[in-house]
Amino acid sequence: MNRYQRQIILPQLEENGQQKLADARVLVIGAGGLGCALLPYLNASGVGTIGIIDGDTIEESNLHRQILYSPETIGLYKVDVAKNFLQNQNPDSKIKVYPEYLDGKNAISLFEEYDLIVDATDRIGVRYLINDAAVLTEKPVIYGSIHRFEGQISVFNYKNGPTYRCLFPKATETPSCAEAGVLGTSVGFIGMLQAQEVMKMILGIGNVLSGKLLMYNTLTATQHEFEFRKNENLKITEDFYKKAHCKPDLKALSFKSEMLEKGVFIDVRELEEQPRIQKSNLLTIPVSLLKEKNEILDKHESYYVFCQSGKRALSAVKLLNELGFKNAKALKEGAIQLKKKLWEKEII
Amino acid sequence: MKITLKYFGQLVDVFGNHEEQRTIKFATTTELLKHLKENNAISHIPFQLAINQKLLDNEDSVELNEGDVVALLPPFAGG
Repeated sequence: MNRYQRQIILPQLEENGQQKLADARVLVIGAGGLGCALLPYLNASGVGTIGIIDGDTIEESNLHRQILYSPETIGLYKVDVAKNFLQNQNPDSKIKVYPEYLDGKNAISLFEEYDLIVDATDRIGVRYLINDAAVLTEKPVIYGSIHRFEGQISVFNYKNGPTYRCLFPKATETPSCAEAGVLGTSVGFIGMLQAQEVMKMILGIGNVLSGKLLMYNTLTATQHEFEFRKNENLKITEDFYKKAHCKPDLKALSFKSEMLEKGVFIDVRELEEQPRIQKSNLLTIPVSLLKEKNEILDKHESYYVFCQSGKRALSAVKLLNELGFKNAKALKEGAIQLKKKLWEKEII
Repeated sequence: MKITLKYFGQLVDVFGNHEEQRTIKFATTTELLKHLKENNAISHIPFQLAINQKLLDNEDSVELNEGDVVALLPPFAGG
């Protein structure tokens, strides 16, 4: 325990506080500027289990601010390189990494494995996902983000407190560091404020930034604190979550001859587009008329939708799915390739 | 009446400073917002309003008073 002696002598910590750190499980979402700043400090102080999720690989333009990476690591997954660093830094910690992006499908099960969620991402959209998954799994979120020299920090869903949606109910995307520019020292500073919130929450000391938005300007060294309340009308339910974050990825299928027996083909191109395919079991409904004409379709039938390139087929299937035709699938092949395959198989 | 306006993030670029004092004729935040949106290119920037360090609920229209400090707070994305 010599490693932690200088912090254990703090009356706010003692052995008991060190044990709390060792027992803590913290998930850090994003291994960019914020993540690189806060991870080594959490790890060095003995946070027992640290998870890191990020599907990004290292680029040269990351190196000025993402201090866990070096030129020879360009092209590697950020989480793998971060894990190496952290494991060397503190061999006692358990570092779990996920080289993928957080999405509606992996968020809930991942959050369930951790006590605290650190939002170190760089897009607004994912912040709503983090928020909603955290509400459903009842985990607090330590939020930080930056615009040029200004940072904002808050803690959401702490003991059922206000959330990101209470603060920003309908935010749209705003420029990221890549677009707006940022100094490493600025983003590092904001990451460090997040790390300090994490430490306070694990140890149960100080005042947590719940219901408060701290705005810090690293150019003027000034800060402002704003209070916000929980919006009791906001209810994040599983249904809401699924609708907002679990839109199934539509994937186009490759043509197979057995599809001809299983279902009906729909050509969603406009009537003048060539080549035309003449075949039984083939409907022609341009995508623009699909909604209007959907009553001629059968909800129990399997449909294979094609167009000229594959793009309209996907949007047509999305629409059909929404209209209740759950067995509609898009074909990868456009009309030219499809006609060729049908010809080769002597179907037409 | 005189109020102070504080800007953050992208709004600093639009208004050209972090803070300014304005003498206004409006009585409510709704009127102030309408005036700001009509006279500045801010429709693409999402933000919340705070009066004297307290954020307003999204749809609230609040009466303004002499000396109020009104902050325009956009969400940041970077990290």
